Amino acid sequence: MIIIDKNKRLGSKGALIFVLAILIIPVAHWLVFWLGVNINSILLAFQLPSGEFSFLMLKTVITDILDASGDASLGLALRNTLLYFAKDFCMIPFQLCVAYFLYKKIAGYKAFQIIFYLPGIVSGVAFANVFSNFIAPSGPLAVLLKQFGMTEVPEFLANSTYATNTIMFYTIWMGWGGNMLLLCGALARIPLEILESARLDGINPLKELVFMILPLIWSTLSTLFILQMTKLFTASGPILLFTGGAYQTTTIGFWIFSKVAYQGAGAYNSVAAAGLIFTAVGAPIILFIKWLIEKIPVVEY
Amino acid sequence: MDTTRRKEIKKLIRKDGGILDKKSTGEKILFAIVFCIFAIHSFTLIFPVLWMIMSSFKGPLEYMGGEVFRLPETWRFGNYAEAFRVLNVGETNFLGMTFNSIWYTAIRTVCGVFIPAATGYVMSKYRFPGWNVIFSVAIISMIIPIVGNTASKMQIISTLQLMDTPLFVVVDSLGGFGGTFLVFYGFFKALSWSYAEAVMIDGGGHFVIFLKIMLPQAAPILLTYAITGSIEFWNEYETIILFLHSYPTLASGLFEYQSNAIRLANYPIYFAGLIISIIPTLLIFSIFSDRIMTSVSIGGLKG
Repeated sequence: MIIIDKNKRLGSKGALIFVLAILIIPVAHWLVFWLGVNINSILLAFQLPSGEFSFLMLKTVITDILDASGDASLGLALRNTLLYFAKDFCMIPFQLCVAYFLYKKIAGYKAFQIIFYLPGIVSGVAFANVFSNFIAPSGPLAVLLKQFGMTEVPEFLANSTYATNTIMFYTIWMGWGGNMLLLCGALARIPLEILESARLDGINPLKELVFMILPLIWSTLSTLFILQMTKLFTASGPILLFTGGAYQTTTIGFWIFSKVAYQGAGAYNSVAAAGLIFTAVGAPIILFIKWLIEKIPVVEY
Repeated sequence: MDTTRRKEIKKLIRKDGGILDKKSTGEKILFAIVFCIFAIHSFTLIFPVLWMIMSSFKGPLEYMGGEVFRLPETWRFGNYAEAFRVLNVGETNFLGMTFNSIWYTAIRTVCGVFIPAATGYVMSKYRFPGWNVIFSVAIISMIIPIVGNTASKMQIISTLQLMDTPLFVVVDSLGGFGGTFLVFYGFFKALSWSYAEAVMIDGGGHFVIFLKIMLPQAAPILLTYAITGSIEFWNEYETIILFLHSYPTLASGLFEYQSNAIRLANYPIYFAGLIISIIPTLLIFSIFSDRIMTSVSIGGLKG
């Protein structure tokens, strides 16, 4: 029985066929590639590569998480991932400020909008390549630094002291325009009359942003925060493009990628075990934060 | 201040460009500082790209010579033709990688937009037994942070004999839930059902309503997602490295080529290849930048 829309009218046979025809593909896809994949992943976590039931993989992964010494250890990957996560989280308010000034039509705002969005258009492979060549010891940055009196320019990406910070800098540098489409879209929908009234009452830009704009775009902002939270254990920079995980730059995302890409089926169980542990820890935290964020009322307009 | 007076003031101010465009001295200083920061940041984003473009016209020895800011002695436009001849990955040449990029992007974009649109439409306009389950599942799938299921996915893809086949791209793109679904769900939910009723009175069926009446009204969102999606899929490389290794695209192929340091004796030609690879996305963006910048919205993950 199908009820159509708000009228609660009983649906016809045609409606039933239509709904089934449309939903059968996405539902089947979800059953296989979400439910099936995740159930299989849980099963893999409790198996040895031979298929035998065992807790060994989980134990090995926990030991590896507690150890942050090796270049490819999960402990180090976790530490780096949390750093990227914190950075990404802090970037949202920063990106909102950038979007705010663009929304307020700062001089050249159209050009800035396009330029800041450039990293979203140009292939990461191309940008990462330019960047790594640009900061190489024989590259343009080194030439500039030497002219400013620096005698020896370090290998920023081939050095454990600098590599993660360099990639972090790269992601911040490229991330000004991140979420710009959503934030600018949300800002553009704010009724101008509301802001005009506030201006007549003498509100300054900071108060306008915090007390007027923030509540008005909270629906979008809270969604961004929740979606960002889901990346608690998957946040990463373009590790593959810069270092391939060397120089203590590995993250959980890259650790998983390198295991499945380069070690093949033999590594499936350890990857699944790591995934199960991180999901078990992350899911309650994220659901709690989501519940907390949703406590803040959304302004309807 | 009474309402009439307020309206009068607003009218007067709007004639003069609007009160929102008026800035106090403090605001002017703030905007000037921010402008300088934005300008410097823009320069740092553009300059390396310009440097790459300039370097792509140099000879290999000239590039390695250390005069990094000097213009090319001879502008070697031939580097671009050479990129098509030299930049090969396995048995796939540059033209093959371009072809792979095109079909990969096309399949991903068409499926990635149409299926969430259709799913969003049905979920917003029809109620049926199991609706709550499907909707909750769609939201929960987005929110629960599943980590590390790539291994399991690879195993299932292998079991289905889809690994390293173009069919993988089709099957993997058939998902109807996710962020795009939410946007279409919100759009169609706000759309009046009276259009459909008018068609029904004229004897039109549900497929006609969807394809001829409802879907065209979502054309601006469809186009926006098609544009942003095609840019994203054109630049994708990790999925291709994992699941489609024999079909390198420009992004994954150029990464693999670069990984082989021995062959990177000729950076200018490699840069030429990179520039060719980014031209389509830059073209798409330059044509549709206004649309991309103004028509995306998302909000409210209730589940």
